[in-house]
Amino acid sequence: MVAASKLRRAQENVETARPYSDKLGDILNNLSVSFSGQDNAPELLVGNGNDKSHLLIVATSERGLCGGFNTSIVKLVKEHISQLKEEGKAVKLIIIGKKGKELLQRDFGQEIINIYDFSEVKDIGFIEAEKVAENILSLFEEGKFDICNLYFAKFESVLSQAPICQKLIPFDIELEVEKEKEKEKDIENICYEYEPDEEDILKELLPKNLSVQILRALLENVASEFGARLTAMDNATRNASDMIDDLTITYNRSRQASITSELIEIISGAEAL
Amino acid sequence: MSSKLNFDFVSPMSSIFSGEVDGVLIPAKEGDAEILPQHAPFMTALRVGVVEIKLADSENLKFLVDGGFADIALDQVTLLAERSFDLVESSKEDFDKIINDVVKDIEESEDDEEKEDLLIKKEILEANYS
Repeated sequence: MVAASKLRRAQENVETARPYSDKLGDILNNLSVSFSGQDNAPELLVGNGNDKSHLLIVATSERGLCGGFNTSIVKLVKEHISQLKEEGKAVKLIIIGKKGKELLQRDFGQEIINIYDFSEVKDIGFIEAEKVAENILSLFEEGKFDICNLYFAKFESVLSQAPICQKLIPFDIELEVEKEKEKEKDIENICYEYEPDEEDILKELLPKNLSVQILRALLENVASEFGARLTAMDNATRNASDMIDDLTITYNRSRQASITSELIEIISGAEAL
Repeated sequence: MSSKLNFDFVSPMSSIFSGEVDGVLIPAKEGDAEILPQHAPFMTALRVGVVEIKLADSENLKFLVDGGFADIALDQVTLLAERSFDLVESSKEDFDKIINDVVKDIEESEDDEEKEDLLIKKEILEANYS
């Protein structure tokens, strides 16, 4: 039940973080639509044109005993890695969380370029996300990778957490644009004024978006972890009480059997006299 | 047409303000701007400065921000800022703490631009110290 109260807090955190990342996404979409197809679009938005080297960021938990939470994320990652390797692409990994390291180090120890351990941090917040984002940005600027994906478990409910893969670089415009179109047709036609110009705003907005996306993933992950732990521990309690019931019956039966055999011995002994 | 603005002020960890306002003063990158109802669609980056929210029936709210974005369209203003500090409601201890932090950052900072921002921040904080 500890997990239940922690889960509630984590869920609140996810919900308070949502408006910010949604709004940022909206702004980014408005901007990026006007940029798509242009030559001078920033690389963070459209990618650098290559897809040879992939950076996978795997967000996992710091502690175990949370059912299939970490294994399901790692499974998805492993599938993607082997798929990428078959296509002859280079793979690099950044891991957040101790559990992911334990699960991936043996098979892909060489691909791991950085591991973040936030087990000391009580409440994961913007500072941690920024750290990861800065690392990614500097790697991107050095040209160490072309495409960046983020793996984490999306919190759907206490019972279900789906591992998902989110594209960070290049920015995934289309998916969100479609959603936008349905929602706000009238806003689309607005002619915005920008200050400073679009390019400068985008330059500032894109790195920020990276941190925010990572923050959101981390928060979703925390909520999912507690959800998974809650279910796992609930199952464990139920299994244990089932086992106790079984064992109590076995104990009573064998106790009764020994009493019966003792009685038989006494009775047959008395009859023999 | 309404004579009010819908204003949302959000940070990554919480929603700081949401509701109808008469106007908002924002520290836009190229100069302070006051946004009133029926403002033309406008998007801008923010610099270090004070966001002032003008309310009809109570005193104005003031927040210190160190950068962010504002999106203005159809009487809806959305302000995104990672870090903000309430200049009206905060207690003396809060002020002391944040000023201390800023002073420490100034000492550690090596980037001239960053240092300038921090100095502005410190001045704003000291001016609003109550």
